[in-house]
Amino acid sequence: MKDSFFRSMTWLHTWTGLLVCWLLFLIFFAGTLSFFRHEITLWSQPAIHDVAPQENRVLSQQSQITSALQHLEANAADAETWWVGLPTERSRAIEVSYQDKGKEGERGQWHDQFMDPNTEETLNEYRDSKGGLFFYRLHFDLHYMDRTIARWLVSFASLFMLIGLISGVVIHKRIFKDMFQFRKGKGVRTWLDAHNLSSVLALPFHIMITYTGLVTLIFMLFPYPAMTQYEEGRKAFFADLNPARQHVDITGNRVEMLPMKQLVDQFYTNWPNIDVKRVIVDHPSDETAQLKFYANTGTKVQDEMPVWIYNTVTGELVMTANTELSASETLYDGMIALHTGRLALPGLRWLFFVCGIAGCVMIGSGAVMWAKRIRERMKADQTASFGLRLVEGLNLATIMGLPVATAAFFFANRLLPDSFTGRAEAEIHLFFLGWLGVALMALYKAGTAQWRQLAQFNAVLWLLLPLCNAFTTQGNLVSYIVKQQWVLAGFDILCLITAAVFYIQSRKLANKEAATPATSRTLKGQVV
Amino acid sequence: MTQLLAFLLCFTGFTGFALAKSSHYRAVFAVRIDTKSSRHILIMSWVCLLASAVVSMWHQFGYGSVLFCGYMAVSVMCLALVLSYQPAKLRSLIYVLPALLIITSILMLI
Repeated sequence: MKDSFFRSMTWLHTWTGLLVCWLLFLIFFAGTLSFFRHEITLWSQPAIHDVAPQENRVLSQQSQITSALQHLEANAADAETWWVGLPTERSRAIEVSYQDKGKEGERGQWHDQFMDPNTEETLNEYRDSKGGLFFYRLHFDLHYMDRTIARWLVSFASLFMLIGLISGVVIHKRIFKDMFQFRKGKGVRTWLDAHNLSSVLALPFHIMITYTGLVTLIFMLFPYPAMTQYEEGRKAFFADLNPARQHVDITGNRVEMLPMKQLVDQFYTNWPNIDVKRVIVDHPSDETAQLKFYANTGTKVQDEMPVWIYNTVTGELVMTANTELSASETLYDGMIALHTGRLALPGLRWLFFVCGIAGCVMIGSGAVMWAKRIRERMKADQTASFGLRLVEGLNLATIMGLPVATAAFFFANRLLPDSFTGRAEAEIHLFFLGWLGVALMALYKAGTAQWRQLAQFNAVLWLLLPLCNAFTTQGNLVSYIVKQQWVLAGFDILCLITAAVFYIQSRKLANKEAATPATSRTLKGQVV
Repeated sequence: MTQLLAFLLCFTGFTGFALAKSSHYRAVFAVRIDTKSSRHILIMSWVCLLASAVVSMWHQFGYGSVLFCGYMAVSVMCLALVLSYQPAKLRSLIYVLPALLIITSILMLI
């Protein structure tokens, strides 16, 4: 332990940050993109680009639910589950999905389709793609690994982040005095200012998102109260907490369900003004079959949707849940709602996004600053240690590699043929292949030249993405603006802004390279 | 309109916080600020910031409080960029911000 409190805190801040900064950057990056996951999904499904927005969204729901359930009844009578997602302010089409019955111990395959909410007819051109859901799952389940292990890793990283945030506030003595300070062109000091500024400006967001992120996994991290109170442990606790979510095993005894229209009409007779977000039928035509209506919570700080569960044979209302939450449920659910940001209207969503980007800058600038400080302290003839080269390589691989990988994912969405088997997984493989390529390059050498080359590469990739979209779909930036398709136009504009930022970065790095004397140690090595 | 007013109040508050500091004041106006003026600006800034919080949370406390945090982040980011690259531009805001605040308040009341 160091000899003073301040030094101990500085040590703690440095090492808790550095040990997990690359994983944290991935979590923040993917999490930030997840705030727009429905918008990314919309972009990745060209078939629904031209679906006209509805004027009376809630009034049309009764007919839409009936049509969707009748479609599933006709086409997937033997399915394990029917799933209908109604159009919301963010998603235009009706999502109609069903899950096959799984083999012993395995989950069945999901089949997805879209319906036009205006004509209530199915759209045939469904593109097998995870879209925004990939980034959402990536930020807490990672990929290519067991979910439980991934969630533990993410939780540890989040805990380290929380420690880093608190120790950061402690060591930054002039946190409010220096609030607006950004001294450009001053080497490590500039990186420090960028780190401080990006931390301070969104400090409430950083603390909220990290703490509530841990809360989302709290029953995995801290199951002991539930295990103490319930003989059957967490399972019994969850059954008590949320009985509507409990899985009932299928019996295989087939029964005749009431007509879907009758069930839907019955719901609307009792609850005529509910904005329904989702309808699920578990085990259709089985004696355990249940029809569930989930209500949209809108801008309420509540994540769990109120649900009404009906018996599909008798039409009886079996259960209502989440309509009134207790004080502790309200607190817990409110924190989940703040983390997911599902409540956010476009303005707040953009604020979440900006704060998420600030989080990425905070993590990235901290990692870069550490390497730059170590290199500054080195003597002119000293060779960089393995640790320093590793940190520099990982910085380059993560900060510049993730945008390359994301662009690769989007290009794959547009260029892979629809008939390609395992298309959705192939998009994800290309994401990781793109990242792997950059990582190999970065771990081989991570100097200013490599940063510049990757900045140029990123600029070209993000510039070409709207062009690729224009050549492979019916729309382009101009048509989106003319038709007032702001989500799609926003996607293209954001690509162009990203390309411009990378271009500016490459120009600055090129100037820096030109200004560096040939005898400087930067030519031997790795300074950014 | 309510949310625009909340953001403008928040931005005005943080502009005041920045100008209450002698280094930033000198960068903007090329003269030193005296202690008394600095104190007055600080009080005005706190009033604006509190007013922004109240206006943000007026209709929906939970949603409004998240919005308010977002407004603070964007305000600090914008000010930091202006103060670093074009500090003199902040001078015009001294007149523009109150005018915008008045217009937005009137439009909101109408």
